[in-house]
Amino acid sequence: MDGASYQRFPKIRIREMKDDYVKFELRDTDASMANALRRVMLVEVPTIAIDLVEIEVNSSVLNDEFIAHRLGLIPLTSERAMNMRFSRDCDACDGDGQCEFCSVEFHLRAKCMTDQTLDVTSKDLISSDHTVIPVDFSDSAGFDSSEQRGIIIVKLRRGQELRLRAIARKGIGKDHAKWSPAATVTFMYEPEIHINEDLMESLTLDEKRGFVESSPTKVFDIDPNTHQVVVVDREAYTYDDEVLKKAEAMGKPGLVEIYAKEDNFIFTVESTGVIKASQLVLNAIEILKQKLDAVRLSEDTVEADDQFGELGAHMRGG
Amino acid sequence: MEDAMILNKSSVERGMFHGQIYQTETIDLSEQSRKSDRGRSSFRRTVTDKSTHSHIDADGLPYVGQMICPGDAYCSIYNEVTNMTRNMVKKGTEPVYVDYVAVDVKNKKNLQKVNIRFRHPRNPVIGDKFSSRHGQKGVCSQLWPDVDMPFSGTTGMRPDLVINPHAFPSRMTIAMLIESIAAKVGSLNGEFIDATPFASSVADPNGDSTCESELLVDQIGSRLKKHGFNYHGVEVLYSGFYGTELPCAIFIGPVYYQRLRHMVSDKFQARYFIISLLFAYIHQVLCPVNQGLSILNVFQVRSTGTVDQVTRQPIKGRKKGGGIRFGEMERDSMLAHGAAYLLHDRLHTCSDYHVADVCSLCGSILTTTFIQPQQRLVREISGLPPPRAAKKVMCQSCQTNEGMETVAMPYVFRYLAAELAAMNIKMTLHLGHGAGA
Repeated sequence: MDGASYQRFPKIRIREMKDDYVKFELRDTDASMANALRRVMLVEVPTIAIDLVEIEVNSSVLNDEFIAHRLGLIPLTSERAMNMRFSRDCDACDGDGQCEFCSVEFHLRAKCMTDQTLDVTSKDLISSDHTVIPVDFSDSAGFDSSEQRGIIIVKLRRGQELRLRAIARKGIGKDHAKWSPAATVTFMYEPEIHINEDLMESLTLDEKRGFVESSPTKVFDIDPNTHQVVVVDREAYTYDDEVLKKAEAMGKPGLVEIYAKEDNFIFTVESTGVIKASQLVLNAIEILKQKLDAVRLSEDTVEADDQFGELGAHMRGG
Repeated sequence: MEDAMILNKSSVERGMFHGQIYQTETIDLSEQSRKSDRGRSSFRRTVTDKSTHSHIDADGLPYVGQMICPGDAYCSIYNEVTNMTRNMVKKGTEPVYVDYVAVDVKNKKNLQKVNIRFRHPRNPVIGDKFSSRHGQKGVCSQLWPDVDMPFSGTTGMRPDLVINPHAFPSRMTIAMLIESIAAKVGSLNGEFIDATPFASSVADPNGDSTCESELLVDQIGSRLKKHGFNYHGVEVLYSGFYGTELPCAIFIGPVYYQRLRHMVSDKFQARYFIISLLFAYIHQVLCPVNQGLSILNVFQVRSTGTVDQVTRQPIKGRKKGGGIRFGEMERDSMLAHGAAYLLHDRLHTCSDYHVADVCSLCGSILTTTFIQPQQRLVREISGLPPPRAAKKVMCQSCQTNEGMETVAMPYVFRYLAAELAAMNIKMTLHLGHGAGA
């Protein structure tokens, strides 16, 4: 055991990447690491969201708290968030959230003067910082951009008015869901499927067909030429055990064997649009590293070093 | 607890089950002045006291949109005869918002009647009640963080609400399961599913079914399978904590849920009781008092507050600030836990603890009377503070104070003796020393 290192070097292979969607493989690590990454992506990557609303005039049908809540949920472009300060530990402004380092101010003025209902949308929010603006979904949604006018905040009829000042701050999803940059983060173990060819050959074509159809997702198929059962998409397997149950019902247990590869994961990340999905993954790794650094540098770890010896050094990346 | 449920905290933060309660208060000055007959009054705020000006506008009425905490003034009334301004103070335990102020302009000269509408924010908290449309109601016991919720490996979905499957076998609300699985198919297809009883909801109107089974669940199941889901509506979920697969598949699907009107913020009483109970327990352990007789018909329990005139036990009812009954079954469970001191504290010290004078000669607690000290007046004249003379008590029937003893007992015991005496039954106490006497 002397000098043995348990350190592994996880690898990432990107399969598919769009602005708000990324699919990648994470290899050579275990579930704890994969789940840590998922959790950090969901609730610890900072973004910017409206946190403080000062309502000057509100004669709309929605009450002040309702509008404030809706404003808070509007996604704001947050590329800047990683370099911003949390308003609670901002030195420049004593944490009251009024300076350029920790906050962005928005203004909204809308009054309906016509008989037609006026939609107040996220486009009406005027930002003090051109890098932090409400996310524009018009091109990605595939609608006609002239029709798509952002996220509706409230609708006004003739004579109604909404005037407010809002302060957006940096925050994390742990504090409030509005700061969560991820819509969906999920991973699954990469399955490994072995077909017992000898046993499979003992089936009739109808039985084979029944077996293939027993899986709700298209994992297996029958080769039209050789009439052999082949795996077409092993990642479509959802660990539902349907095919195993079918094999058992046919009296052929062991027809297929399916294992989950314990150290390979397939991640699917969808961003809310505030940052690019790829950036979300990178930021999450950065934050995970920072968190591990905090553990490494804390005094408790040094103490634990004596206790764990070799393992302690390993924990600190030795 | 029974029928508890877990809500997803992030879903709640995004607005799930958010709500408000409106409450309107009518203030009619003409009615008030007629009753008290103390002259004319009008809405006006004082000029002298500026502290209320943040809450009350120049017309004596609150600002619309203003938050009012309990104890704050929200409207002020000026009495023209007494030249006094009276503030209306908001009662309750939670802050409210002024939603709307409506004035009655029928009386042209001066304003006499207003309606003030308050808005209570009621966003979900632990203890609020929710229900599906099948009578499967439950109480929110936790607001669980989104990341800690189990998630689906394929879609990444996390549940909004988690309920206990034990709610189903005894209640047999199959419709809720059908709603869940049918809604799953419906949302996958983007269509409605007919829920008319005794009619197939998914079969063609012509009558020829695509599925050989006539069962609704089978028809839904085969359609679910077409979309790559499990036939029975279950899904493999992964633990939000560990990222590992959960040992069994979970039945998951959309169900219509609604909020019920029973909310904890309206039922504040219970929490107070628990705090007081723990406090009393600590107090009791630190300074145990002498054991007295214990009578078991103790009613409501509470440390301080109003008591019943006859029994001196705390009164019931939340409106009157009463306590919560610590009943027979609660007593039994305390006994089973061996928490005798706590039990004694609850049933005696915190209830109708009473020190009675008992005549050990005749054994009566009703015949004792106080003897008025005679020297008291003399002392007061001489300017000396009256000494705390020991209470002189004597037995009226024995005409002596020799056998007087003090015994701690519940006050109802004395009441029982009095009631029995009224029925011509004499109750005597035999006093002895030490335990087991």
